[in-house]
Amino acid sequence: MFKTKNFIFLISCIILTVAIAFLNYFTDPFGVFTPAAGSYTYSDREYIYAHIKSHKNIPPPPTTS
Amino acid sequence: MIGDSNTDICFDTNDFYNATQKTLIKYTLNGISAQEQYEVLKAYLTVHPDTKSKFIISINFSSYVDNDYNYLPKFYPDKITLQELFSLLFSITAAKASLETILWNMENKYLFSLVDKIRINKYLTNFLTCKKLKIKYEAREIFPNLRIKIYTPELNPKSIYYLNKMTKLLKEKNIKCYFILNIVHTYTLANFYKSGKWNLYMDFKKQFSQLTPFYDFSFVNEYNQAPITFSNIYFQDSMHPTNTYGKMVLENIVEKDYMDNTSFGMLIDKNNIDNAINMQTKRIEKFIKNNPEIINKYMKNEIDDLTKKVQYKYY
Repeated sequence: MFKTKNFIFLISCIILTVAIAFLNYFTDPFGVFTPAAGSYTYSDREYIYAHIKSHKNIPPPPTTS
Repeated sequence: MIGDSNTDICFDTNDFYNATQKTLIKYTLNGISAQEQYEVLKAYLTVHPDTKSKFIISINFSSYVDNDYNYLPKFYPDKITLQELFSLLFSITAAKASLETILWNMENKYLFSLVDKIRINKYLTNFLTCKKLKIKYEAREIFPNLRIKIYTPELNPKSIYYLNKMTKLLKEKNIKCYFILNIVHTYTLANFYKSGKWNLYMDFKKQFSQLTPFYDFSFVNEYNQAPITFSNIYFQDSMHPTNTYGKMVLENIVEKDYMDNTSFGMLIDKNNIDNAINMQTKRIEKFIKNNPEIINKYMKNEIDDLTKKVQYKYY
């Protein structure tokens, strides 16, 4: 019983971690993985260099009506 | 565009694209120091040595006097490091930013237009962003002088040193750059004057103009005198203009490449700096003389104490 609980906890942690990674990758708030594709990007000291390095080919932002 | 929160709020990427069909990339960091601005510029030019981009560098007087730090991580020019990748995917900061991005997109209808029909986004967004709204409200209504107290009695030589380095670097690379002095409300200028920092401010402008010409929108004009309330479309608090103001600025400097509306901004260089200082000093003196009730209301010592508390709480 104890082992099963541990196993479920471990699997839950893994699923949560993978989910967070997916969320961060596809949302890309710092505009690193899909540069300037999002309509709103943060600037943060920790990520600003990653942001700069990823901006090789910058597509135009979405137009607003 | 390299600047601080003032720049981030004032200039909107979508407005800019709609007006000029050009992409505006903002590298804006809260309370950016001169050294950090230089480091960001240098990093960009290292990664993109053949760039044909034009730059806009926004200079914040308060930061240049007070902020003397560099909190940027070490720069590795080649590729995204493992540490950066790890923190981008797994850190709490990134996850929080992701959620905020999704909510912002929902609120502004860039994504998931279907969600509108479900009618849940508005309630969810309001619930999760209520803290932000509260800060905005307080900044507008109670603390129009938020973040304007300057403790240093003289200019920080390090700031001028890095400003000089930035101008030299841009000259070397033959890059077109627009320098802008951060746009502030007249209340902030009045506070500079009343707290005895006006000469320091003018001295900063003088030194700045010796290094490079810059656009100055930070003097008493027809757009920055109105009280800071929710109906003021130009300012959200005394240090942060809205993107309506930013749009007017960009239309003048980037599209036309000159200032034709000198009633709200001017291009300052070493030739006209003395005249500009005289004009600006006269205008602020006139404003203070004509508006004693505003000065009495907003220049009280208690405001400074309250401002400190708010800063401590939220920043």
